[in-house]
Amino acid sequence: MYFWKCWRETRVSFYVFLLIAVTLAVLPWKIIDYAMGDLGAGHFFALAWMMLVFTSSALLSVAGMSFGATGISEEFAHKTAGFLLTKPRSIRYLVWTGWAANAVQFLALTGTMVLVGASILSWRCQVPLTGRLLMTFAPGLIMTLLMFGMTYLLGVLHHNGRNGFISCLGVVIVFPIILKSLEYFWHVHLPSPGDMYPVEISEMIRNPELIATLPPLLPSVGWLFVALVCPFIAQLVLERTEL
Amino acid sequence: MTRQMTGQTTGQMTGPAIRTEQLTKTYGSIHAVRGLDLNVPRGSIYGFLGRNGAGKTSTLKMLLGLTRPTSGSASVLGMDTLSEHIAILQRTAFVSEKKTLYPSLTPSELVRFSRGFYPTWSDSAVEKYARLFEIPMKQRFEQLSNGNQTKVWLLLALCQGADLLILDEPTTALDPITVDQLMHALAEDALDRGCTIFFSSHQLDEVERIAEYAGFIDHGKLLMEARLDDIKSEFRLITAAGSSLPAQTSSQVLSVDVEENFYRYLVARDAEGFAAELSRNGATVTSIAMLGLREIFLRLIRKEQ
Repeated sequence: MYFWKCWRETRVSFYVFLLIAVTLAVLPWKIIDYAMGDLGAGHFFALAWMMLVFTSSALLSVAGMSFGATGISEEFAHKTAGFLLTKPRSIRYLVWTGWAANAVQFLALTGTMVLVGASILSWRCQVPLTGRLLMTFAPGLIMTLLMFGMTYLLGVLHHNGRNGFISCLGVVIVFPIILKSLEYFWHVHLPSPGDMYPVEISEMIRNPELIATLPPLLPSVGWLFVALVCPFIAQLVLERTEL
Repeated sequence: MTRQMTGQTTGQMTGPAIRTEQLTKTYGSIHAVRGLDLNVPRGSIYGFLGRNGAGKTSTLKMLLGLTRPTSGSASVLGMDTLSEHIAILQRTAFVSEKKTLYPSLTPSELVRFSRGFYPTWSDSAVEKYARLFEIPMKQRFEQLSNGNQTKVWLLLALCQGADLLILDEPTTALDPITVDQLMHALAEDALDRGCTIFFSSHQLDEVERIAEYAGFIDHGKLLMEARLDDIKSEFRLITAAGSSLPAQTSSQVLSVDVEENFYRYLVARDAEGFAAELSRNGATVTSIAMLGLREIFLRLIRKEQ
C-alpha cells in the first residue's frame, strides 16, 4: 500500500524524466552525426558512446536526487507522519518501501536510457553490445545511486525532502572542492567517487578504444555499499525519532 | 455500558483497555506529562479532558508509540506500548489532532491506501459513513473544507474495525449536525462491536453526552478520574460558613475555596457525612449542591492554578 502511495505521488515526475531520458538517449548519435559525420566509424562510436554515458549520468543524477527527495522524509514535511506512523508497520518497512518505490522508478529510467541509447548506437555503428562495453555505465550509475541514497538520508535527517535535495547538491559541489584542496595543498588523497572512473575523459577522447576499459572493482563496490548504507542509516535515525 | 470482549487472547482480553503507571514525559525542562496513572476500562467511552497544552496529545502519542515515555509505563489492550506497538496499532484506530493527510489523494484513494493495513477493514462501513457524513469521495483532500477533512479522518478510523479508538479532538471544525452524527456513530456502532473509545477534548458537553468515564488532566497531572454516573450521584459542592474549618484536600475533598469565612468544598463521595462532620466542628452548612462536569473541571483547574 505504501509502495502504491509513493508511486502515486511520483509518477508524474517519472513520466517527465522518462520522456527526457528517451530524448537524450537518441541525441548523442544525432549530434555527432550532424557535427562530425565524416569521422571514422570507430571514433564516431566512441565519441557518441562517451556522450551517452555522460548525459545519462547527468540526467540520472538529477533524477536520483529528485526521487531521493521523496519518500518518508516528505511525510514529515507535509505533516502526514502522524498518520503514516500509526499504521501497523515498522519503521524499517516504511523506510525501505519508500526507498524501493523510488529506486524501482529510478532503475527503470536508467534501464530505458541505457538500453535505448546503447541499442541505437550499436545499430548505427554496427558495433556489437558487449557486457564489457555496458560496464562503462557502471561508475555513473553507482554515482547516481549514491546521490539518490544520500538525498534520501539527508531528507530524513532534515525531515524534509527538499532540504535533503539542497543539502545533497551542496555536498556534490563542496565535496570535490575539499578533496581537490586536500590533494593540492597537503597531498592527501581521500577516497572519492571519481576513483570509479578508470580513464580521464581527455585521455578517452584521444584514445577512443579506452572506452571499454573496465572500472576498478574496489572503489565501485565500496561506493555501491555506501549508497546502500544510506537508507539503512535513515532507518536507524527514524527509529530513534519522536513525533 | 461496559461489555465483554470476544475473540482476543486471554491475556489481552482481561484488564483495562489502557493502563498507565507513573507515565512521565519531559521535553528538556518542560514536563508535558507527570506521573500519569490512567485506567480506561474495556468497552467504555472515556473522555480525556484538559486545556490546551495540558498534556493530552503527549499522552496519546505515548500510547501509540509515536514518542517514548521519559519514565513510567503504559499498556494498551494488554500490550506494552514500547515493545508491542505494531500489534497495538493493528487493533487501534487513531484520529490526530492535526487533521492533515496526503493533499493530492482523494478520500477514495485514502481508503484504498488504508484498507491494505487492516485485515478487519470494512468496506460496507466506508459506504455507510461516506453517505452519513456526506463526504465527497472523489475530491482531492487539499480541496476539502476543514470539516470534510476531519470527516475523512473519522471515516478512516471508524472503518478499520479497531478494538480501540483513540481520538484527539475529534470534533474540531465539525458542524453541530455532524457532531451529532459522530456521537451517535461512536455511541451506537462502535460500542456495539465492543470497541473502547478514548477521546481527548475540551468540549465538556460532548464528554458529558457520551462518555462513561472522564479524566481531567492539567499541567501533565491527572487531577481526577471517575465514572460520570458517580460524578452525578456523588460529587457535591458543599458551602459552609465558619472559622478555622479544614482546608486540606484529600481523596474525598478534591478542592477547597476559602473566601473570608465561607468555605466551598468539592466532595467526591459521602457529601452528607462530610457536611455532618463540618457541623460538628461548628460550621454552618449553607448548601449541598449537585455539580455539572463543567463546574467540577473549572474548580479543579482553578485549584491547580
